[in-house]
Amino acid sequence: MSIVSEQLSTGKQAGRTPAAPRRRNWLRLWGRFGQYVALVGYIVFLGFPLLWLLSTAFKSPQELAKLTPTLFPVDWTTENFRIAFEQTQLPQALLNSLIVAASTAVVTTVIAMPAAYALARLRSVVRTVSVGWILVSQIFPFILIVIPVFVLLNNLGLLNTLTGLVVVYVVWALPFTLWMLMGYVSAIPKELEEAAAMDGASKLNILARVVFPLLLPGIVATGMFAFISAWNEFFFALVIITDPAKETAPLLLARYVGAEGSVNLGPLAATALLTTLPSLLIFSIAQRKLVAGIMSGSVKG
Amino acid sequence: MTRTRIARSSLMLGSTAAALTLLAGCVSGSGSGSGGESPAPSSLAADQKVSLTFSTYAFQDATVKATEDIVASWNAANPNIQVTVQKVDPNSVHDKLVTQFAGKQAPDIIHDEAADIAGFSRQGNLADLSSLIPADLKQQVPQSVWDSVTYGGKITAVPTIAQVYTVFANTDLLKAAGVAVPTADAPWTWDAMHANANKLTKGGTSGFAWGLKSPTAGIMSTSLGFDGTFVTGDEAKPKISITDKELAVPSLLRKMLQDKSMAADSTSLSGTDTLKGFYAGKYAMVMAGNYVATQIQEEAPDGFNWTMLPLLKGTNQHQASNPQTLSVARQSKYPAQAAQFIAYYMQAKNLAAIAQGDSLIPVTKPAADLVAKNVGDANGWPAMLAAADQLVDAPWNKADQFPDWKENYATPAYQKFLAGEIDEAGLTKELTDGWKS
Repeated sequence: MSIVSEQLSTGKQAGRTPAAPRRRNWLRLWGRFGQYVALVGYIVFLGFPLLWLLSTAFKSPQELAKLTPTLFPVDWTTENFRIAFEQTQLPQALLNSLIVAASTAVVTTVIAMPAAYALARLRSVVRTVSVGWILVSQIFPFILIVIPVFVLLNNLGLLNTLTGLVVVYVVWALPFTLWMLMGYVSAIPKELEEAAAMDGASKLNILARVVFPLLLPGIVATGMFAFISAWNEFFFALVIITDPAKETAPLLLARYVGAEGSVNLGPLAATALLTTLPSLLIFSIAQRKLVAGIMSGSVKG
Repeated sequence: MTRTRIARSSLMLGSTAAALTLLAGCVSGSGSGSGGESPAPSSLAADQKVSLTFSTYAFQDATVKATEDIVASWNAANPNIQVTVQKVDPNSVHDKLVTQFAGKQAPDIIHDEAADIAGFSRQGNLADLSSLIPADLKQQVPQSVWDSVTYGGKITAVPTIAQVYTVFANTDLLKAAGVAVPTADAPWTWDAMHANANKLTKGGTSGFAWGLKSPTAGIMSTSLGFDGTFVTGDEAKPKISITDKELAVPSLLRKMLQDKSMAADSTSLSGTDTLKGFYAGKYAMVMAGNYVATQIQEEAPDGFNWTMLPLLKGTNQHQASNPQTLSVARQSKYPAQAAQFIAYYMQAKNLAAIAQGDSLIPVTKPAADLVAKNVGDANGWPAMLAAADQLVDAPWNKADQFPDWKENYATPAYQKFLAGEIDEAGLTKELTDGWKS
């Protein structure tokens, strides 16, 4: 290659060099823009039902009966909230739901944690049988067991009690939470425990200082699952609870739906909104712990 | 009340599981026996206190309040017989009762509807009230309505309020089209309604709409106006018979859909979903259960003028008697006291308050008279109250297989027929084959 052609070639490269990064920058910008558009679309998709619920809760019966609904109320009213509080025992029902859901989350997690560790770490026939049984228990439709459960609770004197409800929810949520936690335990490298043992840590120390911090995100996720399952559950509450003072929030919500499709929409939306708030609050707090747990695990790992 | 009801077959499965639990000895032997004899009225010592539970699915605010008022006034007047209310949502009554009966924890007094208590009556879960109903109450209710709560010769419930399917009309649109509102003495025939719906169909307005998302109950009830009884023979296991009488209503509806005097979109809506279009002038007339009158009063825009029309006439104005009911559980230790409370509930003042709250028809004459006095002649109420005389026993409600047939065969068949996917012969075949399967 001659000097001239070399210079030409170099000149061409030199000329192309600023254009390529510019194109890449544009592509990156468009890509980022697309990501944000998708993200906003996703947030709108997730958030719209909540926005609609909020809007419905503040609309009057006349406005709710319009053929063409508006996104926001034309005449805002708090009448639906007044009805929700005055005609039902909403605060008591929310408190009952909170007691039942929190108790279920705590008890389920406390039982599931050691069980999940044992099942994930121990290799024996018991493990195979237990895991198989957990899976089999998941295929039972709840309608099949509701009458026997009702009879058993009656004999135990737990019918129409929040304790009875917690017992049922714990039993119902345990197989899945156990399964979830087993996955988290399996993901913790066994070598970490062996290293701690080599350093002289006792088994209890290893569990408390090595396994537990790494398992925290899983525990939070499992607890949240158990909490939400119990918070939303309707059918067991329907058959177990008869005392109005012990009713949970889903029972109250169901009473706004009448026969043949008639719905008391405004008070239903107001009650549903108030019922959603504690759940959202707990989620937002638990989410922070969840992220903190993951970070803590990654550092230690 | 059947909208979200869990499949009875699943509950039967659950019942079987419960029976196994019982066999395993997990259940103590408390509660009443399993025979079918009438309960013996219990006599109380002078100072004995009785506590009764009353399960109710009262839905409308006014009905809930009326129910609470009745219980409060009873409790105040009867310190030795105290009633406690258990509320349940209308769509869960059946499921809750199934578990309560199985667990021997049924409430003493049960609010339900005639069609739903057939199974409970035959299974011996409800007390025979024949000897516990006061004679004057017996006379105040039409015999045809008593027939709808009589199973195997036993009266297992006291009927309270009833629903009919009636036409709600936008009177301003009728007036503008030169259509006169019919009177109780000269009700419209179905053909007259069709002709008037054609007159009312113009611009963006459909003359007639019927929320037929769940078409079976409405079509079968109104078919009684053409003497369409659908089933004959044994009470629990009757045979089906589909003739021109049973096909008259669906055939007319299809004609109306074809000539567009009936709004096609309404066939996919629920009974109350058509009301928005009714208020907006999209539909000039809507067919619905008369209970929607309460909803219209609450949410219709100011200045909206409407009325209920007298029941449409085929060969007669008959419709199915499927009243709400009050029963006494056979497990109850105090059936006589429970029956006393029911008799109190049925007093004209109490029943009128319940009926007005729900915009339904009280089945006793004194309560109907009181409602007539309270509401006057507004919104077609007099014709509606007179409809109590048109209620006749619907034999299909007592058939064991009716709930399953309705959900799995009749509803899809009617939907296909109204959508034009099958003709009359196809509808007849699907209804008949479904019943026989």
